[in-house]
Amino acid sequence: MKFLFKFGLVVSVITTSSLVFLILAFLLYFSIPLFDSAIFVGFFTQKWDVSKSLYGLLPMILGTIYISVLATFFATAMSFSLASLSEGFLPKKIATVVEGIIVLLAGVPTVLYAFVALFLLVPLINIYFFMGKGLSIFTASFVLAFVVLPTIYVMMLSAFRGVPKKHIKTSLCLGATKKEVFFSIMLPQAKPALLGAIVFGFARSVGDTLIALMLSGNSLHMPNTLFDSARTLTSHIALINANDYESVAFKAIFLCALLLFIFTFFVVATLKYLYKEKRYA
Amino acid sequence: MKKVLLLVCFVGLLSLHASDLDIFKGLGGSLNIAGGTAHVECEKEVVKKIMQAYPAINITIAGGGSGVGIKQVSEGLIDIANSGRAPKAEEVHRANLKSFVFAIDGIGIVVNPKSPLSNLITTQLIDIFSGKVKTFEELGFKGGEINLYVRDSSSGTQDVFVEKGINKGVISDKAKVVASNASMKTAIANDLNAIGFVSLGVADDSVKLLCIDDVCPTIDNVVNGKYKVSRGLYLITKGEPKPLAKAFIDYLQSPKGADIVKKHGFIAPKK
Amino acid sequence: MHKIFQKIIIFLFYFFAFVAFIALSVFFIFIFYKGVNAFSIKLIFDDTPPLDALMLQARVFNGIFNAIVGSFFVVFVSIILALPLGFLSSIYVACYASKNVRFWMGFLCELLSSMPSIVIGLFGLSVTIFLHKNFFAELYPSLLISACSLAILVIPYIIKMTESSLCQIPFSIKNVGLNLGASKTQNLFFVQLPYVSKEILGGIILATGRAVEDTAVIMMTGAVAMAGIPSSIFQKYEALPFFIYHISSEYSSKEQINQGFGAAILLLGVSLFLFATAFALRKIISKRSGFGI
Repeated sequence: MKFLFKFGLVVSVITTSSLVFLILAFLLYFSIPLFDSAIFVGFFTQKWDVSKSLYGLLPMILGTIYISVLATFFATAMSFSLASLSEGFLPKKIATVVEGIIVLLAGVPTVLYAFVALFLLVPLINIYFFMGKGLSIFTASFVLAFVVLPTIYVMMLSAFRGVPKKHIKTSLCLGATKKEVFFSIMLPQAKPALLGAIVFGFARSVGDTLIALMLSGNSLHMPNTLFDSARTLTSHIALINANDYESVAFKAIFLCALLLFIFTFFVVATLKYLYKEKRYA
Repeated sequence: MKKVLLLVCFVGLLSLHASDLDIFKGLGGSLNIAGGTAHVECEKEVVKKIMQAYPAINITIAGGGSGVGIKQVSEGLIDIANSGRAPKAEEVHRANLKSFVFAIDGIGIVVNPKSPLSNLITTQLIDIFSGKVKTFEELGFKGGEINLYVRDSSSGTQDVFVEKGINKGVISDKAKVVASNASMKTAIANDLNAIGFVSLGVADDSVKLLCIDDVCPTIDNVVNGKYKVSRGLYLITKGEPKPLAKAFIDYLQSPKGADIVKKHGFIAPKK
Repeated sequence: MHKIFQKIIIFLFYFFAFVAFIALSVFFIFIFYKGVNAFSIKLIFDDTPPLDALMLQARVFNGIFNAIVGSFFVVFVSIILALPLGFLSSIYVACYASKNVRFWMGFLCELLSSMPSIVIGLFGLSVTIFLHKNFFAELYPSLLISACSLAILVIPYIIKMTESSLCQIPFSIKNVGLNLGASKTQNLFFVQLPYVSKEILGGIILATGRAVEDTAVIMMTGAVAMAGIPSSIFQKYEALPFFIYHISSEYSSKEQINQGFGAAILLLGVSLFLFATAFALRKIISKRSGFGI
């Protein structure tokens, strides 16, 4: 019995820890045929046009960067404000309510944001603000900001809370105002963790599929302005996935996934490194 | 288990009277359909009838576009592909595809109902979709920048439109890409400056259909061939269809099926 | 100068908070207004008698009943798959692993949980294609594949929650059994696990919430527009989030949009309920033992 239990432990640890490697292996298995061919450079320089056998991923890479940078910007502005207010300025009771609401927001399914935006925000922008620019980078990133808002907010809260209470109380006792405590004690000390929260939020927004797929217009050209429509790597995977399994187009989406994998790896490694530094300091 | 069997028998007995569904008698199992999005509403109605009468049959329908359907049926991943275009010779050759027409459909150029446009000549159409003509002013109307809406590369509607509507012209990559006929309709209905193309069966009064070279996309014009941008709606199988697939295709091609086809705004093919 | 700068920043804080608050209220008011108006028995069951549908005696066609059942099944199977794996792994990591193993497991979990869900969906699809071509010709994208992929998605959540709760047990409780002569395993089963049962439950609930709402994974691995109630795990199925996505791109009438909103409010209700429960559990725990997560 005990042996069985231990056996189970080992088996499940091996299984769960190999999942990441399995994913990597499959992504490589399907995308490696593309590596040694002459078209490989083309993936990062050309446009995507299947009828001309062009399989460039550059527009999608740019689209991903534009949308997620902008979304992270919006989300950071909002969650940093909310986190600072609830940690530094608002009365305790209101702060608890705000925190409760935003933590619950993490439970709102992504597809719902996109669904509501499609029937509310898109027609609004189309008709009243920018003629026919409803499906655009701007819309997608604005809505995406609300998806990553709770993540960044929670991480920022814990960043502020990581500031030793001693320091805060001491300065309050010395007669500092709340404002002074916030700007000269909490903000500088929480800075690395705050940056970590932003990086993590950025990773979340790169990884989201549904918002970009439903709201960014999915066009294939290189995006130039905020109100252009664009396609992200994630929605490209969703749009091309049911293709001929032998075709270059299908294999190219594994390259998209591989790019996303590598990106996630670097983000997680960076964060791990940052937090490890902090622990030993 | 026994209960289910009894129920099957009971429903089976009941359906003895529903003669048009008889071809499904004694069949069971699942039938997976995927591909063209113009077919879906029409097929949903048929599937509902069949599944109500024969609980042993389970039919699934997915979208994706004609190209996706054809590729998946060639891979053997689904039983029937919906396609808005005839399969290409190489596709037929590679996977031994069999195709069956069950409806004729036109492809209409659509704009927002508030748009001043009502007629375009083919050369204008080619220029608009290639991105050469960028504003309504260039066409002699007010309105500003034109927003193009197209489908992805696996769309049969788009293939037929490119071939017959704009004479194999190019489509600008600035165009917004939507995933289905229905979402094309939605996008156009929400955008004053939009131009796109959509299956006639899907189009309704939320969008305005344009005439091409003064020929309007009416059912008569499609039937008598004056309106050029038309196509068959195909059901495609790999090799000879299996019994359930065969029954499904036969039903859609039967007079009852033709009624449903007409009800959804398509034209039933002449035998 | 500095003072004014700070004042401006604080003003901006209030401004952005206000923007977020307004946008979110508009979102919730809109979805509740539309959803509650659209919600009815007919929305779920169409014209099939509800009781017959629930007993699986009659099929539902235009309602969202199939999507509800499909979602339920796929989440259920995925949790069944993920639970033992995640649970046992976290016990190993928390109680038996060396520091190095713990570090690497933590890293891999983090990596897995930050992986875009579409990548996991694509992984599920590619495994299916691979198996279909080389081993099982009868294997297609289906409920089982979706459930497996969803399980991969939620395993890191279960591991993280269970592990952190096991690690945070106070020493006074952790060592009591050992000091009384219990073996490590006995201590685990009779002292530690019962002590953290609420946290584990909270983890499972969170994982369920995550699995219910995910759309990208299931759209890659077997959710379809119309399927009926799946009679086996090898069939395609309908699911609520996919239904909402599908409606948004393929609707052809006002009624269908209403259906979409009905489904949306249902999904929102389920997700919020799960999250609120997990949240409340956490509150209870932190009150009881004086530690929060």
